[in-house]
Amino acid sequence: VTRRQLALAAAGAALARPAAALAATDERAIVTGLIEREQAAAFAYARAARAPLAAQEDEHARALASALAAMGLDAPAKPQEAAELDPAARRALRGGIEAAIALEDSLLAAYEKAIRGLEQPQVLQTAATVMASHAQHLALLRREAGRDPLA
Amino acid sequence: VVTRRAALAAGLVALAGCGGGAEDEAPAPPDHVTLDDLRAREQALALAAEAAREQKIAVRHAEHATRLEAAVRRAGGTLSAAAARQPADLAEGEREAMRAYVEALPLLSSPEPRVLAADLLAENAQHLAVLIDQLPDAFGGMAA
Repeated sequence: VTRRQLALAAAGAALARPAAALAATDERAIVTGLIEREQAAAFAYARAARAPLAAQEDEHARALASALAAMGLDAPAKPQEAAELDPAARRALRGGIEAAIALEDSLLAAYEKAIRGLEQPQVLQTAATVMASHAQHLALLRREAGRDPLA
Repeated sequence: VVTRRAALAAGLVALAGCGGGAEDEAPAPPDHVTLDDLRAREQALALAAEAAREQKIAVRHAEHATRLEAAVRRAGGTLSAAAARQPADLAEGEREAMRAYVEALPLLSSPEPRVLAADLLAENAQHLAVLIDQLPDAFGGMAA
């Protein structure tokens, strides 16, 4: 068996890799990304003295981490400083209602995008349930800002 | 480290009777059947919201029903004449509809109707928060 034959065999095996395995890899990446967003939001809200929202983002992260564990992966480490946060969370960290509204808007968009790529029933349901919670945060923050909560 | 509490949180949907374990159940119905059931619920909620004088919420539910009607047709189905039960309590009706959406999501076969269902679930969750005028639990108020 030559090196070339081995290389061809390896390439063939890679091509024959089941689509389901590739989808599972994508799904793990999607859930990991959502956990990072939740952890960043929890960090930001804690610094911005919005404890109830921080606690809920933390619960979301833990629920998603449980789903990720069922797929064989550990959750990413929590952020330790502001520089590790995504831009929307970094802005919300400084406080201010409009930054919090923008953060929730961006989280909703992230979940909507994620749901396109999720297939496993319980992961899909957990993500949709958390997305619903963010929609509620958004409505109540809009109301706090004197705006129509259902705009 | 995944704590026991986190595992419980992730299982909330299933514990609340919102589906899960679809793989050991009967085959999913065609998308248009699932979407039509949701449409009937939205129509019933529109009527309930009107009765409760929550006009903005009534309009949003009517819009949801219209979007679902279009989705039923795109999925190759027709609308059923059967009406859903009109909830006596609007907030409880919102919560029931939210659970129906969560249950429906894994039954839908492609991303487009799933995103529609998730969007409408999110909007109904907003109705619930506004109606009860407080922050529900971290799972949209469905953990209760």
